[in-house]
Amino acid sequence: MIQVENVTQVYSSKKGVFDLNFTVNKGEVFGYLGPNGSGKTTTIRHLLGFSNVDEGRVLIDGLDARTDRHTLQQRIGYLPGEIAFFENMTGKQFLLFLSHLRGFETAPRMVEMIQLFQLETQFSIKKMSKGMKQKLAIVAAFMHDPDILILDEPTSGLDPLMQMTFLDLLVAEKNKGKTILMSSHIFEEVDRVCDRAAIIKDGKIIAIEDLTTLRSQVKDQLIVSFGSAVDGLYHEGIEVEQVAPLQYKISIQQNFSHVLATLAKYPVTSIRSASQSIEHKFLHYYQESSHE
Amino acid sequence: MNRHLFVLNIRQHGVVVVGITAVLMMYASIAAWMFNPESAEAINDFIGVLPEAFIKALGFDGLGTDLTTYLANYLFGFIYLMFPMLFVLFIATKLIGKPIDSGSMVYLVATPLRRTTIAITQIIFLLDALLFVFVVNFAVTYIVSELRFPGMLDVSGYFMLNLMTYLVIGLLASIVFFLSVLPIDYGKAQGIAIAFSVYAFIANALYKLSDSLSFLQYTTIFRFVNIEQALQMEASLWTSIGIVSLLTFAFLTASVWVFEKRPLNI
Repeated sequence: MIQVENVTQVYSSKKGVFDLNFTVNKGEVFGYLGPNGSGKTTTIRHLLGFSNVDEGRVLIDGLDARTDRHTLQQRIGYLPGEIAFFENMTGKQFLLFLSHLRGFETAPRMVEMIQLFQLETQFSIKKMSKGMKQKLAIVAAFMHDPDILILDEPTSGLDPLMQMTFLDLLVAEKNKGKTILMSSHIFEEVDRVCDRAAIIKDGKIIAIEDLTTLRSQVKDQLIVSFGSAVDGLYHEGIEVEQVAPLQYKISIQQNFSHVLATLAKYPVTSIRSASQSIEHKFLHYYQESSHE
Repeated sequence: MNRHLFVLNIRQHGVVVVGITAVLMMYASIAAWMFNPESAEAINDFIGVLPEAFIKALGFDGLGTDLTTYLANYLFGFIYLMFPMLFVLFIATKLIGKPIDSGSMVYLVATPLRRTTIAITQIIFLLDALLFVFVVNFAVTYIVSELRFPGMLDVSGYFMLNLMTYLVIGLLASIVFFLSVLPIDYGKAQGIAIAFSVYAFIANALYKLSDSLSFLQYTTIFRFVNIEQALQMEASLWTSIGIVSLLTFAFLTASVWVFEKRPLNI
């Protein structure tokens, strides 16, 4: 569906993106992660046909994102990372204006999206809070029911409840077969909704991971304290690491029964969870790359 | 052209258009109302005692004793150049340059609207807004003149002067618009536009002061607002109209092309 092929764009500062290659399949939610200034937004500009590549190309359903952008924009919903609206408009006027530009009297899902995000559209945009503006931008991106969604840090500024609402919406859209590329700093939301994720750093893709595989590699961990020395723990066939006197970190990977049976033999005084999250996996890439 | 974008422009800039029209209307109607054929010579005598350079720089070089030349010299030497120039500087950079700078342009280019359509719509609005200013003011001046001094206004000559001034201000607008679509920093584009316009205005005032400064007339677009040439409808007027129109067309065409091709870091 979306093919990024050998895309390079170098700014005069020598920063930019370099030889990017990845594909987003139809019906897939693709996460695009990276530190600030890593090239996420530059990549997204190329997907939307806003910028000229120095080398390479971006194809969406076989059409060139730059030269065929007018055709493609019919099918794309875009949520910018930095949101700026036109002055002197209310939220409703803005959404109707965009509806008209897209050839609708009222965009097909405008009312539904306004209700979903509890957006008060009668207010002047100038007087809206950051969260309200973000909700307005989300409604604008989804209201024409596009089959491709390109979202640049979509939950920025949303309260936790609205973040949940948004992620639920993404899952629902994915289930309808929509193709979604989402840049984010928040590993939890990537973990929750994405099928795959690319990590970009200093303009280069350093990894593309299948989230299902990553999730299966994540180990549950317990921090267990004991009433007395437990030297025998190392010979029980479980992964153990001492973190303090009489306190150990035990990793579990599908061997739950064995671990529980083993712990029952020792004087356990407390147990707490210290599960690894997928965040560790991604941070590992960040750190690995910075050590190069 | 896109009708919805055009309406958005009216919503965003309409107040400024009406405001500048009102200011010029006030000057024009007061000038027409206050004209007194019997005292015109006395006014000219009074102006004659003021320093010549000062009078020439302000464009009041001989206000004339008939209504048409009086209005032409009173309005088109200074007021009808300066206020439209300020209007152009205020509005022409805001139609494409400012939305790119602020990021709101993203909501236009992320729709199926072609960039060419966006640029052409903005150009049509800009030229229409200027046309509105000049048409309303021409109409008001004509009405006030007919009420006060029926039949005294040389309508065709005065119309040609308005047309020529409109075209020159249109050329200025096209240059400023072109600067605003270039892929350079918005503040820099604004600065260049202001410097160019102010220079053109000052050069237009200075070249009339002495023969040694007359070369400056070839460096300013305002020299095309030639009151005598327009009122007399001299043959050279059509050459001036042709040159100004061609230059305007060239800058506007270049603006559309640049906007279509330039990268948008929004």
